[in-house]
Amino acid sequence: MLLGRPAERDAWTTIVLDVRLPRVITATLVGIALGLAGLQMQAVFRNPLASPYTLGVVSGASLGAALVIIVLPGLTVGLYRDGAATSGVAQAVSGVGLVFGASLGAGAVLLAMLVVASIVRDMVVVLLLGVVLSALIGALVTVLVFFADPNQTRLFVEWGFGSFHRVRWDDVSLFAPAVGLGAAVAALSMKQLNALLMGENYARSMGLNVRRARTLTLTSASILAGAVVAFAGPIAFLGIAIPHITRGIFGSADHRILVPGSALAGASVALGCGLLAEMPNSNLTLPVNAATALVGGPIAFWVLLRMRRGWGI
Amino acid sequence: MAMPSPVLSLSSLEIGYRARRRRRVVLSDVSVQLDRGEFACLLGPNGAGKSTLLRTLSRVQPALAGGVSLDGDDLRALTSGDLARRLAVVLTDRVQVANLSAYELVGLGRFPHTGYFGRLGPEDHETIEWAMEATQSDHLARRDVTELSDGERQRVMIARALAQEPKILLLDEPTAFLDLPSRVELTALLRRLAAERGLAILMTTHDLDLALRTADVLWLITDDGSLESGAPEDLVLNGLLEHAFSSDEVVFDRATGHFTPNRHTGRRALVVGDSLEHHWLREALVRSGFDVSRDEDSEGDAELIHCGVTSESEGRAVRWWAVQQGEEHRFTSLAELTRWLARLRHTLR
Repeated sequence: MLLGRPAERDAWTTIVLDVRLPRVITATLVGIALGLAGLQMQAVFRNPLASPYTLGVVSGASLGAALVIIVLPGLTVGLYRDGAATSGVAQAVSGVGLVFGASLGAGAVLLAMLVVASIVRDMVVVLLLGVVLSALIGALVTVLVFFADPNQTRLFVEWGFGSFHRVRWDDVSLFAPAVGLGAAVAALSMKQLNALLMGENYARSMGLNVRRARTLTLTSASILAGAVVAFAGPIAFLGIAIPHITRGIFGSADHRILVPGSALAGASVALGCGLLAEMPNSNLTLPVNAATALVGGPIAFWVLLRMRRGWGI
Repeated sequence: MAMPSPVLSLSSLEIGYRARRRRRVVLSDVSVQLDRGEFACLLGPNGAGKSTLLRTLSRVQPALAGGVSLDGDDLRALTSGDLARRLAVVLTDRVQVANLSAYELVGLGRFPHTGYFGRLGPEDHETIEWAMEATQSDHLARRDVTELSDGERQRVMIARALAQEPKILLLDEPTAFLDLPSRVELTALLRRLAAERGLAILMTTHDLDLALRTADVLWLITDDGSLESGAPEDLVLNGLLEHAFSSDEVVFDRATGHFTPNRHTGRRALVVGDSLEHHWLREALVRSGFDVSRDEDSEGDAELIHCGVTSESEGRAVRWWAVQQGEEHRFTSLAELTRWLARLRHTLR
């Protein structure tokens, strides 16, 4: 059927083309995006534990999602005072609005962090500020969830599980270009990332405009991570784990290998996690986040153990 | 024949920091030059401004006044790529990257010469190999940089700087953390690179002895915030080195160019003779705080301890003797002799 021949049943066509294929594409894009974003972050921060989420992308997106799921319906109730209408609005809002809210939240936090990164010279301080900001926003989200009604809380929690299922074809047409843009920046900055391996002082001494490279790379990582959170939810671990898996497989620190490598490894692992989450031969589906953590957790563990032997990015 | 113009020239340079409206001047009115093939050591006490000067010369921070010219062009006017092709640095920053081979690290030095994707062409590989051979690090090429010893890593870092094909090489305390043989080797390597490749090399160091013996030129930062330059011997003779580094604790010997701890006790000794044994006997006495005289006429002086080396015929066991107030003592080693001198001092007190 994928080869253009008609399928035995129309339903299969629908299932494969409209349900399965977008999921596969989503998983691939998520893997590419998180692999590249993680790689970029680790290179810029020269820290093996940096990931797009250390900058507060997830917490920003969570706040956006929480606002859309919890606060917006409350406002609309106030406006319409009509139960039937609001449930319809809530449905619509939680579809398109969720994507919008999450990306807006992620974008806002990243913009703030980019401003911080351009003012503060010391990248460790930037990293710490990201962690602090995450905690701060996380607290706001907790307060929102605490006062929300159980249905909305459940919606929000489900969003937090992450999923490759929410993406439809028209979402792909937005998701794919966003990932493509981020990937293009990563591909064009391989030489700069290599120079940054030696630290900012050396990179500058070799003629690199460090500030510009840093801003460009962080912007690209923001777009990639923001798009993932918006379309698939806060997928954990892949951002940290993929670059390390890639380094391990290729035994290289050269970003001319690591950039395509991370995209490839990211796509493969994300597809694997997607399969694991679907639980083949059963009707159950696991939250994607559980699958990625099951894969990413042990790898993060391994990274930490290796770091004790005097390890750096 | 026209004189070659200096490759690095500082004129009335004032360096320091500018914070809001206040300026903190670290060094002012610095006017020195460095020629092709010259190896210079920048000396000065901690906090005197050695790093600030290096940072200014590599354009990490702007000069407060005056100018720097690199190979005839104003430092400020160069593009960052141009600057990187003329001047390379070896910093104190530790580069620890897993999965990065020494060869790849040196290859990173090609940054200002390669295209947008940083692909290394045949000439780039030739330059990398040349740089590693010149620093005698070619056998390390395949090793992971995290596995290198401090001395090996430092040579690889110098190779990386050479791969930039600069005319000027600045090094910030490259011999710190190295053991003594590695320091001597590294300094000799830099001197040879300067002489054979026509590089102008400036390194900061605390290793005064080594700088005195190897540098073509010393740049000395004095405590009044000025920079004096000259051949090592000039700075010994005009007393600038002594002034910069001597204190109550340390004395500078203008004859030998050595700094020694000030252990002057007013006690005097006499040693007559010129053999190797006599030389080290004198060193041991100086270390114990003695003024050592060679003047045989002073033999009658009661305060004086007369020391010497026994003749071969007396056997190998006893090698040293000392006469103090008419009484002769014999020792099998200099350790025994100096210990006796120390005890003598305490009993006299």
